[in-house]
Amino acid sequence: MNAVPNANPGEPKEIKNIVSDQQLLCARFSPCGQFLVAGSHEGSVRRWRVAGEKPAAAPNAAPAEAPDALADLLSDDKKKAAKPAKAKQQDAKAAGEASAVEFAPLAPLTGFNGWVQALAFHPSDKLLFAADSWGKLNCTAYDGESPKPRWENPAAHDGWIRRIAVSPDGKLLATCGRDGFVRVWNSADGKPVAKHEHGSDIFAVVFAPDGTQIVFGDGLGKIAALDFSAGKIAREFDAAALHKLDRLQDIDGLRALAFVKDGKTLVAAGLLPKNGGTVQGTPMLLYFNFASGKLEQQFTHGDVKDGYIEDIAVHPGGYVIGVSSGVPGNGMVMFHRPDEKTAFYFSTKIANCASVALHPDGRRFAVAATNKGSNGNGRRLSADGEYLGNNSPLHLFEIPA
Amino acid sequence: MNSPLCKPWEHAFSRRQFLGASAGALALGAFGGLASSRAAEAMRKKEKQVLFVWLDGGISQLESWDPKPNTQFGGPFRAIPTSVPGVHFSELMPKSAKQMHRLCVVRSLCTKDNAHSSGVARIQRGDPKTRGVPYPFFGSAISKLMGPTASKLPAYVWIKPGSGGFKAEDAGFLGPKYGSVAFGDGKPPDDLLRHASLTTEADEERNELREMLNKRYAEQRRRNYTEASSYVFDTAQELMKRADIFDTTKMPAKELDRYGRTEIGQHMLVARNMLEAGVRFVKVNSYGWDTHGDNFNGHASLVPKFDRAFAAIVEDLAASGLLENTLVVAMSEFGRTPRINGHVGRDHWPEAWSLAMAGCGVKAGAVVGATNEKGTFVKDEGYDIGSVFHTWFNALGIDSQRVEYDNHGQPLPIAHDDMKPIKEALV
Repeated sequence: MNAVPNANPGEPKEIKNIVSDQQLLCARFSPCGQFLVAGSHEGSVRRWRVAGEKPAAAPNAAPAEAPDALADLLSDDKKKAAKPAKAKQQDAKAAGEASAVEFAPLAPLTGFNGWVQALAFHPSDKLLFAADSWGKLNCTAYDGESPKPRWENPAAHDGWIRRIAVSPDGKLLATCGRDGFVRVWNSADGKPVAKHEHGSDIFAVVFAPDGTQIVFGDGLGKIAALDFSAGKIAREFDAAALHKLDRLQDIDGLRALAFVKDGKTLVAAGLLPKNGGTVQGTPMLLYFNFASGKLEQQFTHGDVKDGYIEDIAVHPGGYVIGVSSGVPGNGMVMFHRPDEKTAFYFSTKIANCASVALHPDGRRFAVAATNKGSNGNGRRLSADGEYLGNNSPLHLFEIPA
Repeated sequence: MNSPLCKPWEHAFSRRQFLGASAGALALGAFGGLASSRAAEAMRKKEKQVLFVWLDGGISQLESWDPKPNTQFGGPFRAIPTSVPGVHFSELMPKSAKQMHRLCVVRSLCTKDNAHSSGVARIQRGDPKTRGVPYPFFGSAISKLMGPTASKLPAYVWIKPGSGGFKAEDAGFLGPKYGSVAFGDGKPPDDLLRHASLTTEADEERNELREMLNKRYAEQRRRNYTEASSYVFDTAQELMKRADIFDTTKMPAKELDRYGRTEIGQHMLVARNMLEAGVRFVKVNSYGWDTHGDNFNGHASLVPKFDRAFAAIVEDLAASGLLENTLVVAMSEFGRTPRINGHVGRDHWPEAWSLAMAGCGVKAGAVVGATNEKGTFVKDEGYDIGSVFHTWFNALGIDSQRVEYDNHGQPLPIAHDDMKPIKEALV
């Protein structure tokens, strides 16, 4: 697949909105672009088959090459039914409208406990790695009608697994969690490869681009690069700005780690904390020179009500897409280029974003958010007296060429 | 513990006894002064005391005493077994789980206020019927009903983050004498200790002058204000003799670690010292529990710190024998919503929540009431705070259905007159 390295996109346009009946924590597109998955509050992975027309090529960029799900996945009858729609979409696009796309719900993956917050795809094999908040790590071949676990480790961590990362060659996984461990696994069979006890709750982990190190960060503002083969910390990064002890509460500001600028820069996403309880703080990105460990840029955007950057995706065009969840009703989608002083795009139209998934075509992204009016003290019952929960709209955006 | 042959309410104060409580307290104080320290200590151990831990803002029942793992609103955490078979707590409370055989957890609280502004006061005053006067907080009520112990230390002490001083407003219509002496950040009030430049002789001379002026002042003022003023001064003098209570720096590192080197850990350690020294009612406040946002990471940070300190003090009180005569309570003004909002927080939920008790007069190892499968509502009978106040008074041997306050001749019930004690919670 050739990405669309358009570093100067126009304003993203929302082209689809679907609602998950369960609240979602983490959303990811498969590398083939045909599946969207999201971990939920209720021990499952929700799945959708993505069907529809790929976006039009950018006039000044290489064309998107994401596979067309209609061509590969639908039955012959459905393909026939879909063709007119496809033609219609192309016509619409010619008139300057956004692409049409459908999300067909698939049976969820079940058997998890608590929350499923950690999801990652193998870069080439059709494998999905998922982990829950009770410590289970699971590998599932996701492309069949009834996906079955390839392997499973019910006690990969003692409790909440917060993130999974996959090595660039797909051979290894890294996980981190509340038990204060980072662990490296063989992705083919789930056998342990290495582990490192850090001692405090670890919120994020990512492989370094060369695959020899993992970088992890805790809730107290400590980020470190671990040479997991040697079992040695290779480098430390001072992310103390992401932490604050407010009275009794350690506010854990870190939410995600990623690499930008061809792997030369590490970005840590989260919150510049103001106060605990009803946590408030300003969305923040910290950019570190990975070779030296030096902080190159501390970027904040928005207000204390805007809260955590909960998740990020690195666009092939070199910018960071961040989504935030602030006090109820507040959320933000933001595009930021490293080294720039301001976000070149942001929108506060979506409430309380939990995750962002970038489609491999680089032209679409999905944001898992929260229904409006999600908060409130006391009762809120349905007409038939049922106690109501919240749900997660999934907003699909297209980035204009 | 009360004799199995009789019930707490059979030892209750009568109204007449209550009215004579001040004189009794004075007599005990005098005796305490004459007795050997061991005898005085043994006698004091039989006096009822209270530890009241207030988690301001609202601890989530689902992340503490009443977990609902693997349900819609259950959150990410697991439930763990406790020392009582079949009873589970959130995994955030491993140390308190080991103390469950000493605890009594009420999981069926159903109260009315879902706002802090009204909830804090209403819960701590026991939500009596409107009587046209502000009711006392629980600590002030005990200060009035039971007085100081033989130690002569203040009857009602409040250990809290932030500022300290004398907090008369807690006492409501009882008058400022029954307010709390607040130890801001666990430290004694400013200027409590005699200044180094002042000799004992000079201090005594000043006190003589103070007493003389006090008498003159009292002749022209309302009695309750001058009483309060003298009372505070007298108790402060007792505190001055016990500066060791507040000084955690000389305690063994192991003790400090066991309680946790956190705000609540160190405050709970001071609370233990105060109970051991004979303070009748010790309230420990912790702030910052109002987790409308990031509830789960917030509780993952907050609860273990509370858990460590709470379990340590329960264990220590049990080991020293004080738990037998000390009522321990841990609670907030309400619980938190089962529904998880978009800020990954939980809001205020007074309709189905929990508190924990231990010690004097309460049934150890008991779980009272239950919530439904999702934790949204109480299953059967819910208990309002009025019932809880009746329960506490009875646990302390005060017959809450007979004893009354005397508000300038107006008899007032000490707890909601339409409610009764939770008998399942009492021994």
